[in-house]
Amino acid sequence: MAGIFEGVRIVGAGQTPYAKRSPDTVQKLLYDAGSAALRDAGLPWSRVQGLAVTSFMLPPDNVATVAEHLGVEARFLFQGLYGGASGVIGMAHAARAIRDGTCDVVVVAAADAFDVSSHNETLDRFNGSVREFMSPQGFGGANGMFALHTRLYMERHGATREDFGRFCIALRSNALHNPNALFKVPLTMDAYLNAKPIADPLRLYDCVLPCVGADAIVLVSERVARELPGPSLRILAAEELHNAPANDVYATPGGWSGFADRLYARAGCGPKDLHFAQLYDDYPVMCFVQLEGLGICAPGTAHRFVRDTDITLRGSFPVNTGGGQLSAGQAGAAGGTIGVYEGVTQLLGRAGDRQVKCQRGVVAGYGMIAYGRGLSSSAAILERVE
Amino acid sequence: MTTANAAMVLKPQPRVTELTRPYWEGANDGRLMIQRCASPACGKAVFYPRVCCPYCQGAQLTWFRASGRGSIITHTTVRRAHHDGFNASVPYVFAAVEIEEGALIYAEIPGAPVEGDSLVGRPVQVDFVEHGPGRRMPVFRLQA
Repeated sequence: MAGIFEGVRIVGAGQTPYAKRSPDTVQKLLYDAGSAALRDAGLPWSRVQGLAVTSFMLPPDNVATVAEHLGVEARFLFQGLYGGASGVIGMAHAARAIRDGTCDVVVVAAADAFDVSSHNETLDRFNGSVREFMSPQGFGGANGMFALHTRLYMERHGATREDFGRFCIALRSNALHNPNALFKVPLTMDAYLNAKPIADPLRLYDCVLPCVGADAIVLVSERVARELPGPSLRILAAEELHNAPANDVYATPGGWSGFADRLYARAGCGPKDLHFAQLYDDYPVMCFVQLEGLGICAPGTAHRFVRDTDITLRGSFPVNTGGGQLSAGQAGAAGGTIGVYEGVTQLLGRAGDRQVKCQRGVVAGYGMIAYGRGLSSSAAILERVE
Repeated sequence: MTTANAAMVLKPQPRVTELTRPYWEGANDGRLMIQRCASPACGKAVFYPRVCCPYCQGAQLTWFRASGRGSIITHTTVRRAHHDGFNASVPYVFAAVEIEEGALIYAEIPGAPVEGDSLVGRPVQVDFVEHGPGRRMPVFRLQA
């Protein structure tokens, strides 16, 4: 089928190593990840005509000053304002610009250089409702906010700590094959269940570790893709939804269910046709919500899905094949692009030791923590061009 | 900031604006003030304070004194403070409370057990505690 992103191809992906600390600025991280993605594609920076950038630490700079810094003359710029939903959204905006003939080569990148305290300081003043009506009240940061969601999920659906543990342990197993991941040792159920308590019912390994890193992909027109020696991907569909359902913080299964039917209809396939999912894994409960919202399992059954399905690299339905943020680390806004990077790398067949057999997969984003929840959901279905 | 003496660090303080002044002045006076949509077709209680009704986009919102009764939707025990101002408070119970008029308020539940049975569905009643210079904060306490 023709598809809504006809004439657009993804041809490269790049990632910096994830580190607990680094002297690198976000400009340097964006440059490094962008350079890696362009090398992967076989294109020089001189061909780049557009940038889609997301970074919490970028202000007072912005995507236009990044273009200046890197010396890119840009016909298309996008700056992600939707936190971890921005990677998929930036990719979709870039694809529309290429489809419409605005430009031929766009780098989509995200980077941040956080540690625990700078992450907390950013979140405390993330937006007005958090700053005035959650942080002064003692919400406990993102950990507290998602502890509230986790308890509710457990009580509504009968999920246990072990169910979230299985998910985290599988992701850690995947991360052991990702040279860029921060966590290098296996996670046991005993270690998961008895880890330091953070915000009940969450313990240490339910919580992402804020860190330093960057991810990028390269989108091109079909015309440019034909010049390149390597394989390419098409975007079958991409959707975003914000503040949905409005005024209902604890609705289930959340934003993705509001566009899943449309996503699959536009993609011309269904959840059974996917070979992997790269989910936004700030906390395991949100992956459960995404598995349900994206129709990969029925509402209220993700904990049973994770009990019955091997989601590791060896499994029948791999999830977060690079270990995700939970095991690679959360480099701020790059958390919204790590899954895009990983999905593209897998579909291009360049995932090395962690390569899974795949032709088609879903990448999802989630972000803009506000009054009790993340407001922004996004997802795209990508497919290798055969 | 992490090395600062916890006793010296204030909790984050709200910035009182024209929009939020009735809420914070009410709290200082021991009243839980909430907005309600003035449209007869809507009439929903609204929190946090808005410039219009987020249900029907009506321009008219009026302030009323809520009963202060509500119930716990979900809760956590915060053990790692998100801000140094809370270092001396952990562990404490923090909850999403639905007030009986139908709005969601996040607040500490002082005196609630930090371990043990679920508190979901438990009735609570508003109270107001010292939060900083000239500032009282709505919290909720478990009812028998």
